[in-house]
Amino acid sequence: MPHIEELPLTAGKAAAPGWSYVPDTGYDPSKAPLNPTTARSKRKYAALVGGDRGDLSLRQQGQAQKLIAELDDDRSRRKIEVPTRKSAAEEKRGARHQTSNVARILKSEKTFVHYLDDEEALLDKQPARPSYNDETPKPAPRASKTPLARRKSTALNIESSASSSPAPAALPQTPMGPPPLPHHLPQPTSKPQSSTSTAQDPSPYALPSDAELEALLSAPPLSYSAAQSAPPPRTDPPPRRFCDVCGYWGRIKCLSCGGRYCGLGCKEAHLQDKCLRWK
Amino acid sequence: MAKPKNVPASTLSTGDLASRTLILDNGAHTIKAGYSSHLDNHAPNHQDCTIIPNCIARSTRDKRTYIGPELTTCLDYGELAYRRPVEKGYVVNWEGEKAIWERSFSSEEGGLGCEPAETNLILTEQPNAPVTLQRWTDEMVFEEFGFGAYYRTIGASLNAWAPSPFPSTADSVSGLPVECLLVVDAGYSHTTITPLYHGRPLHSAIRRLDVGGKVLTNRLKDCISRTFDVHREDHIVSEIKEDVCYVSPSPSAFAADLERTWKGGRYDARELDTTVVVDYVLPDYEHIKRGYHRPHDAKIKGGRVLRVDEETGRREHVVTVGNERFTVPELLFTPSDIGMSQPGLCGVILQSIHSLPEGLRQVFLANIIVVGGSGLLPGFVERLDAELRGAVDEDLVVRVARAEDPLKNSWLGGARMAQDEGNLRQRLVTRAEWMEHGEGWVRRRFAGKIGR
Repeated sequence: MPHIEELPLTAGKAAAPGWSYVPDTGYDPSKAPLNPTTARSKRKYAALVGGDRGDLSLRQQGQAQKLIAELDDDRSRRKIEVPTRKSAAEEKRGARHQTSNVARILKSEKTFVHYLDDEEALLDKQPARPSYNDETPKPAPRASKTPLARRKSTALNIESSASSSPAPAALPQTPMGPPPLPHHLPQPTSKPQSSTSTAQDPSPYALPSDAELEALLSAPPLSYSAAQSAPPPRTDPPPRRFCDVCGYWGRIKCLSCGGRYCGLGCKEAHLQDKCLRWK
Repeated sequence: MAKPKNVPASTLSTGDLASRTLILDNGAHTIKAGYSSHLDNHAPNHQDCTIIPNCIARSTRDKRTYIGPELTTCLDYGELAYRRPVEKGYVVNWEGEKAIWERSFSSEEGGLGCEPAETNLILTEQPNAPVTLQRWTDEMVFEEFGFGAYYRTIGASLNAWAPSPFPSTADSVSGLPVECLLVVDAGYSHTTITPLYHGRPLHSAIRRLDVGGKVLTNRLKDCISRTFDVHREDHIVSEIKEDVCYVSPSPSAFAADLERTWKGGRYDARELDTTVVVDYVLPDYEHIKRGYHRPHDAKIKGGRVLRVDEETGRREHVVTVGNERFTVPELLFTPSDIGMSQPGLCGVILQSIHSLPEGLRQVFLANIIVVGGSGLLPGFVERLDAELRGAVDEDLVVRVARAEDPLKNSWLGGARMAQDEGNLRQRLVTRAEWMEHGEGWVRRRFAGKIGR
């Protein structure tokens, strides 16, 4: 079977004339019906969004995002004044007054989100941090910095070594060797093989050379958002749904709001308190 | 950077190191702090480490504000409001953090008795920190607190110096890092995966799962609040999590437990399995200082009661905890349960490992260590081990171990590292150097770009 891959047509972000392959990310808002009211347009909409897999609708995605943001918030921004009290250490230092930078830092009301935005803006302006990249070249350029775009490559990588299904043909970026043979690595905590012995033995488990390791060690840190794990591969089972009321399997979907419940007992509780139809 | 104008002359000259080193593992939930010295032969152990709550708490009941270590003297944790200066593992609000540090360094009760100018500081940070925050941290440490010498490092990397939890390996020497280690840091804000090679992080393979102890506590809060509103009781819910939550050994065991804790349909009601369902007696901070759990009493219906204990004749609040015991920690392994588009912990570890050269993958798979508070959940290590084994080829060796004390392991590693003077000299930046070279140079030193 011939191997087909997409080649980047453009070097930078500028769009080139002509046409190109773009990754199919599933949902294309330009194709979605504006107001899916009829059953047919709803079905079409669901297919576009990927509803066949039991994926969440846009509204449910929004709800999930809200829930995650709420869970991730430790409600610590409730304003609590720091009681002003001269500590002994401060008294000892006496007349010494703060530098302007320190005073600025202490007065700052910024939260982490602000710093994250600043960082992103900075990275957009100068894609690589110059101070880190001067001396050492990056070991392996990553296809894309966004977790979503990484989904494909990581998914393939995991599958090829994780499942018992036949491995796909060699990937362009990371060539996979033949199925790994039983082997014995040196004791995990013992000294790694010297580079001379690995040079003679080009097995897939050869330890990287010292130069490769050095390059790996001096790679610049990823940005905060780039270090987030990539989304799970599409082959993963669809998300499990639970009863809103008691936490058992959500076997029944509410016709009005799309929430889940497990049976008649919880249906009543759901309709009374949880149903979002009119809210 | 503004050059300071009037700072006290440092008591140390350029080549001098202070006799003792303060290792400060500055977590979002607690600070792990303690001293180590390269001059005496005392091997640091877990008792040398103090755990300090990293928060300013305000009680609505006694109208007091507790700063950092003072919280241990608090008698009533009900409806405490917290202010946490560390967000996502990074110090964001220095006004609050300064108050906590000053209280912690003082020689009052619960303090460390620290004189910054005569102390070396080893401070931990989370990986992938925004540069601005790193710069501000350096600035505060030298300009405001005036430490004699300072080293800022990724907290996970210190684990390489801690004693290895794997039984087969010989005891590591105090001053030497473990060769290869994959640190799973299940902390308060998130869970990070950091591969270490000779104690140095492989930055391109660091990955983060945005589920941490905070998400679990908040989720448990939401679940319990279906029957009894505990949204304001952060401390109590966190204690419930620590006391009764566990990780299911496998997805099938999860399903089985879910069946056992189901109340049944309307017409086929079932008996709850009292080995899983428990009653949790909430503390009232009068007679019951800390909540405790006991097997479920079938007379309690509807999840919560206020009732009178037969033996003591006291009133007590009881909350029934059923499937929350295992569905909440399950979020670490199946974040899609709350609609999060990230793989479970096992998937994140594989993502990290697959971004490494193939020759290194086996070594890291065989040396996975779990640290951080969520690592204390029963069944965590076993589940991770089972899932990883199922996801990689059969001939690969997978070893997962929990550190002896997951909370203090990074600290212990740092303390052991600081015992060796060579290690210290290689890493620390003295105050004189800071004033001579400025913040950019210091930051590059900590990133390992400028050697000694």
